Amino acid sequence: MGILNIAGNFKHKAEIRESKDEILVGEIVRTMARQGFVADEFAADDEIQRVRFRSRTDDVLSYVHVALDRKTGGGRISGAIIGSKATLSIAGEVKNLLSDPDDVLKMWKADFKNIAKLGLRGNVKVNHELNSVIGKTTDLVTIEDFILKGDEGTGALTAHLADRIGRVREEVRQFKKPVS
Amino acid sequence: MTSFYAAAPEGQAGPMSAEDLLAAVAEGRYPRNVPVWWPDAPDWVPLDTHPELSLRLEQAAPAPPPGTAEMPVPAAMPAPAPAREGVSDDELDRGFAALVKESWKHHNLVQDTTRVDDVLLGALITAGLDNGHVLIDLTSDGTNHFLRFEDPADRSRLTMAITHLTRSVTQARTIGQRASLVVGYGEPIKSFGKVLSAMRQEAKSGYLKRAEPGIVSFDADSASQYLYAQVDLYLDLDKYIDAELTPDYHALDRDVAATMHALRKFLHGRISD
Repeated sequence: MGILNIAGNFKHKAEIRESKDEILVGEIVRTMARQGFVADEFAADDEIQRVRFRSRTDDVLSYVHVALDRKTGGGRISGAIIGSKATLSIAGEVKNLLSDPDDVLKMWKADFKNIAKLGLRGNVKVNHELNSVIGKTTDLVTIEDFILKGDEGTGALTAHLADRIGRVREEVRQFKKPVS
Repeated sequence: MTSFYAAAPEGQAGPMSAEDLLAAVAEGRYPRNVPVWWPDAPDWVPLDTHPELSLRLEQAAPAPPPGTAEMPVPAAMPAPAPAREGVSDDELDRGFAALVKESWKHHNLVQDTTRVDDVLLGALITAGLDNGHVLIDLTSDGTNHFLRFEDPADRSRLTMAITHLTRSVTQARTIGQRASLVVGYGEPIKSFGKVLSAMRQEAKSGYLKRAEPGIVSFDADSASQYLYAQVDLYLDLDKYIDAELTPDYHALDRDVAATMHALRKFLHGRISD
């Protein structure tokens, strides 16, 4: 890193108001750490922020994926009128050590049952990728409900994450194979 | 209307409507279990397993027309091969399971080696927030990560640019996990003249091009009117993250606090000149 280059890598947001989605991502990372999920993969740019968390203690989920997609309200005027909305997607991933074509067929049937589901507001949509089964739910959230509110915001975020992770966990539990 | 593609014996055909597809089967051009695919389908699947079309297939043609070329179906599954003499089925199964487990161990080792910098990033965010900062910038392409925090109480900012240097297992095992870290501590400066004054010495020298450990330099972010003191460091990640990828938040917090404290002193010293 050359000196004098570092500032050029940031978006030069002059006020906290312009950084609400990053603030929320930070709170999510800390909240998940307190629940025993360690962030182990980041992909973040102006449009969307994705973080993958791993758990070594969860009996079903190997990973939880969180994606925050800022939709509205980044500017001063739009923020004042409609607030800061973002879609917050939470996906729980079951990883099996061994998979075979029968699993794929079984999971494909499960996918078909889910084909009309949108996975919104706590509903879970299931999908799979060979030895992974992923249950996902998406909410349109108001960022201010969770940030810059001290313990109240942290509590609301913790409750939201726990509820959504619990839902996806139960939806994909049937696909978790016992480790022999 | 959904368009279908068929992997017919003479080659791939489509797109076509469900009606055309079913008609082709009824006319004997395609077997009932011809592999089909449609947008959103995860993979090619036999037509006679499609939940909706298989029903329509049954209704339209309850039995395959005589002479239709069905996909060959074995009369019966071959009997399982006998176990090796003196070795039971269970023992062979356990041997295979052990091989798979061992393979996962190697796979995870490679994955963990490349992900340790992301774990550091998450740990830095957690430690920063526990210290009363809020995260206001996050950019990451998987290898290069940029963080910026703000302390809402005094508006001071902390920036970090992290680059993972040992992304292969060989490198990580030879010298340990390493990352370069550029840390900046900034405060809002109302007078840009003061910023220029603070940076005059850097601008006059070739000092700017050298990025070696311990060199403290100053950088201005004119958009947000912040002046930063920053320093290049190299981190031994094994000191902060164990083999299970569990971070030591306390150790990280202590070292970040020490760096921030030093940079704050440098910045205040330069501004007061």
